[in-house]
Amino acid sequence: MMPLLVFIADALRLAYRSLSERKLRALLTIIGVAIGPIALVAMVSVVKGYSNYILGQLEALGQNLVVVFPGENYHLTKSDLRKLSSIPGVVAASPFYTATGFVRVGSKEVKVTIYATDLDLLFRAISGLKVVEGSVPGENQPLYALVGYYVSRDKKGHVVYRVGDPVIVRIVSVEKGKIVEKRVTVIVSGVLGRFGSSPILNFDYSILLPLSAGRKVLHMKEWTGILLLAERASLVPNITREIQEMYGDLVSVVAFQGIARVVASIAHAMESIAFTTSLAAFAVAVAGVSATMITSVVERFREIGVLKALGFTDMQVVFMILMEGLLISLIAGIIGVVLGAAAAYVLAQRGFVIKGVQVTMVIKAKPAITPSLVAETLLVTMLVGIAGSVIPAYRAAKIPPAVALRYE
Amino acid sequence: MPKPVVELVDVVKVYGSGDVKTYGLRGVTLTIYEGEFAAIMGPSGSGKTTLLNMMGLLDRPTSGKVVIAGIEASRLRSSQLARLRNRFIGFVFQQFNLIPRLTVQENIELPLVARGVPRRIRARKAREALIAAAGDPSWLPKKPSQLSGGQQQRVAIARAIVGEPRLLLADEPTGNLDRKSAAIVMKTFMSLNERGQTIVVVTHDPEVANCAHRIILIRDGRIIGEQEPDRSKCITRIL
Repeated sequence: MMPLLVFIADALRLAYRSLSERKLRALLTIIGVAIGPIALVAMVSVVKGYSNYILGQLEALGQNLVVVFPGENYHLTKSDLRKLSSIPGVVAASPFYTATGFVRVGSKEVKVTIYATDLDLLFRAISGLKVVEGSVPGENQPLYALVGYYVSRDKKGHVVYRVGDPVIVRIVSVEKGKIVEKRVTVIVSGVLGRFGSSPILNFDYSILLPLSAGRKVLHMKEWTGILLLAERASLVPNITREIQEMYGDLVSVVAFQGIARVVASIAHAMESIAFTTSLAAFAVAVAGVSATMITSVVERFREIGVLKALGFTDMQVVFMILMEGLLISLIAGIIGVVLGAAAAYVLAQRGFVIKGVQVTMVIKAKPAITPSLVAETLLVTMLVGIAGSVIPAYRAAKIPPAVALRYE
Repeated sequence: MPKPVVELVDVVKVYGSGDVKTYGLRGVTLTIYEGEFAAIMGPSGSGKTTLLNMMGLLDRPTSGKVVIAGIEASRLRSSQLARLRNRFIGFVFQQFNLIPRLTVQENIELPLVARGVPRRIRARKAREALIAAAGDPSWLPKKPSQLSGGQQQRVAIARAIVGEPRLLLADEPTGNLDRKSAAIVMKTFMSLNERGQTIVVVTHDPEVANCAHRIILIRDGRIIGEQEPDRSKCITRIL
């Protein structure tokens, strides 16, 4: 064992000496090989960063939540609420109303989404939702509201609305083809903590009211939909299926869990595409390493003959050549990971535009440069080095020493 | 009775095939004994180097037997041949064949690298070998290009003996040297032989061959006889 380890260390040292003798050629080869890991790390980490971000947001929206929306010609009623509540695995259900309005926050008027529902259920379903000031209004306080973080204060952080302050909301809706504008005044009962932007729900720009406010304050006749809370996240697919069987096309069912799954699979596909694309760079790198190593073997034809005369076996010669290829690719891999990470941060700076249900937003997520991505990249790059050196090493092993020693 | 180090029995070497066959060796039978200093002499193209390659296990005979240290080598795999070369044979070449990017010490250590000998032991052995080859330890950290031809050849001798081989083979070791350097190299061989090293030198130079104990004459791939060396005509007399 010991002589083998000694030989490996020596082979590595000799490989380094051989590469440093032809610095320019080694450098050019290293640059060629480094393009693969740069592309791989940059693309995969950026895609993964975005998808992690979106998935994180979706998960914060509640993995146990199922939302039922009525179809075009269907109205949800109390009997639907009873039917839906009785589905096995559903622990709570509440209708909800939503409306779009505008609130003056400091010098600007901001667009807000107003929800009226069972606030206890909402807080149970969405773990990221927190009240930082005041309290949650009771069901018998229809005029009291929880306001989103960026409703209570402007972008610079100056507080505009405090607990107890009245807020005038201009509600805009379309009724019978006409735009109808209503003004309602609610009182701040509590302020929500920063939720972070989300492509689907944007609680930072929202006003949450008790369910009773839907009719009494918003003057809405129809429920926008029904929220269902599942006992466990694992029951959500069954519940979704049951509702679809009960109602067919009359209602549509949205589970954030399902969206998360779709997003995860899209993200996975994008990562695969990024990986496959960078494989092209790796394929070119194999050819590059091969060309360099073949030239190196031809130049050292006589030297390899001498080594064999001195008693180096064919396998030892193969190993020494592979070590050179491995060293090239290891250096290239390290450079590639560093430059790829830098490129990823530059790419991620530009952000990623998503058109959501309610908002169009630019996501800026940190690229996900994970230890496993780094390890995989280095591994693939080192395989490139070895793959590119196999043919040159085989050729070197086949050099007959008697012929090589006569070679001028 | 001295033991044979290498035995060649009816060794034939044919290059090429069909109508373009050339004979390197046409049936050579030869034994080199322990402690011998033999010179193989003959004109160029006579098969000297081919014969040396056979003894050094660098090439396989077309027919016949090569026995080294009691082991029949003609049927061994190339990795086994490599190990035998590493253990039993040291080579000195006309062109020195030192690796230019490595230091003198690293060059001398190479046979021990193949053997997996740890660095510390290698460094000591390389130093001892260089001294035994009439070299100067101050050369150890130098690159071969910083040394003269004669000095480089002594480094090559040190590399050949560092693994303590049973047989030292030298192919025209003075062919690239001026007379004085050639004389120093031959003196080195003689003193190594005095300490028991078996040596075979291939040369076409009578002044070199006369330094040996035994001169084997070769022509057209056949051994045509032996000649008694005349030490008074050995090149070392000019020193």
